Amino acid sequence: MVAYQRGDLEAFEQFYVALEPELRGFLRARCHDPQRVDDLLQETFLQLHRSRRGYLPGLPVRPWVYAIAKRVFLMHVRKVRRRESREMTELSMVPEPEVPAGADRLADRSELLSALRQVPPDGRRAFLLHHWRGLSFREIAARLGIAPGAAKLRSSRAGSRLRHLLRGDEGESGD
Amino acid sequence: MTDPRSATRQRVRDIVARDIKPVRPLLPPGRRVLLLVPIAIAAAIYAPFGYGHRNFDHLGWLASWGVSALEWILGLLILALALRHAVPGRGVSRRFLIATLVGAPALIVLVTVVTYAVEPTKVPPGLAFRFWIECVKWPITIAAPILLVASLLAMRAFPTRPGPVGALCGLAAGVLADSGWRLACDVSAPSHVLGSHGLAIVLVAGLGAVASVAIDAIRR
Repeated sequence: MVAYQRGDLEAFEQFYVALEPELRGFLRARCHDPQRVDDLLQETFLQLHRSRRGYLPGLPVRPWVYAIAKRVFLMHVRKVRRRESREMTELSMVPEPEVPAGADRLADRSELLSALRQVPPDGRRAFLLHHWRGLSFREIAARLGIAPGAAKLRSSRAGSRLRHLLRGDEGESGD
Repeated sequence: MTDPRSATRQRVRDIVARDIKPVRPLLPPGRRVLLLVPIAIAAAIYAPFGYGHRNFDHLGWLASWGVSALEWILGLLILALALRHAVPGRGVSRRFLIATLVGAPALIVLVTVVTYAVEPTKVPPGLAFRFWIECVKWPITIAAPILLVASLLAMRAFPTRPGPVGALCGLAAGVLADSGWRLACDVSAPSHVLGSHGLAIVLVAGLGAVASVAIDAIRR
């Protein structure tokens, strides 16, 4: 770590190799999405790099590293919660549509919101961006930082889950 | 297809390679506090010598300089705690943190009571608001340079909990400033001391917390 602070790239490589498996395990225990674990791992190492001056030589490295990894994870959780809360707020602000005749076939709005809340966040986000915001899967993929195929899959799974949740009231409804 | 692990490793390596400048590690918190000692001394002696002081003959050496020295040492200890808490992985326990954030104001209350017991003086009639303004404004002004330097020193460690670190820096700056200001203010009535000197300490602590969180948010 001291060599790394002196600007030795080779020392950083050794630092990475030594800590990557256990940091990956640490993050995987808290976040089950492998893609997200990779993102968080990258962010953790970049944060360690930015704050490398703060490591006090002579002290154990791991408490310093884990404190930063934990902070990166908590900031990520906070960001996700904030985004979800914003999306749910936006959703609750959608105006009541003109109700056509025979509307009793359609799900009640509050039931729809309740069902949407039960859909996993990743899928819900992709589903809403496609069906409510009207974005293409390519645009959704760019926005979420995933492949277009994954965006389509997430949206489709969310639609199936939503249909399943609403089926008790209305049977098969379009997504 | 590229292994995601190797891809992540390569991405991190590329970014780090672009910015692999040598850095000088921070000094241990105990030594960084020493950098602040000159400013802390200046803050403590500015008020009684620069602004004017109360009658030390009435108050006595022990209740004036003695108690102020005790308060000054407490301020430095809180500062050392703040700098230590700023280093990731070296933070103190939540219980200890709360004990400090509650204990320091409790000590200020004790100092106020002792000073009032030795020399009870009240605000002259009709001047309560003017005295209050002076005794909020000046301690904050004196504490500001200490807070600025302490916050910069603390934030260099990239604290994982910037809010409590900033609050501790502010509390330390407020206590250090008050150690001198209590010798400048003629009034020892607890209602005045706690309502203005105490309020100034609380405001500086709050300012420290807000400033640290803001610096952290801007830096990220």
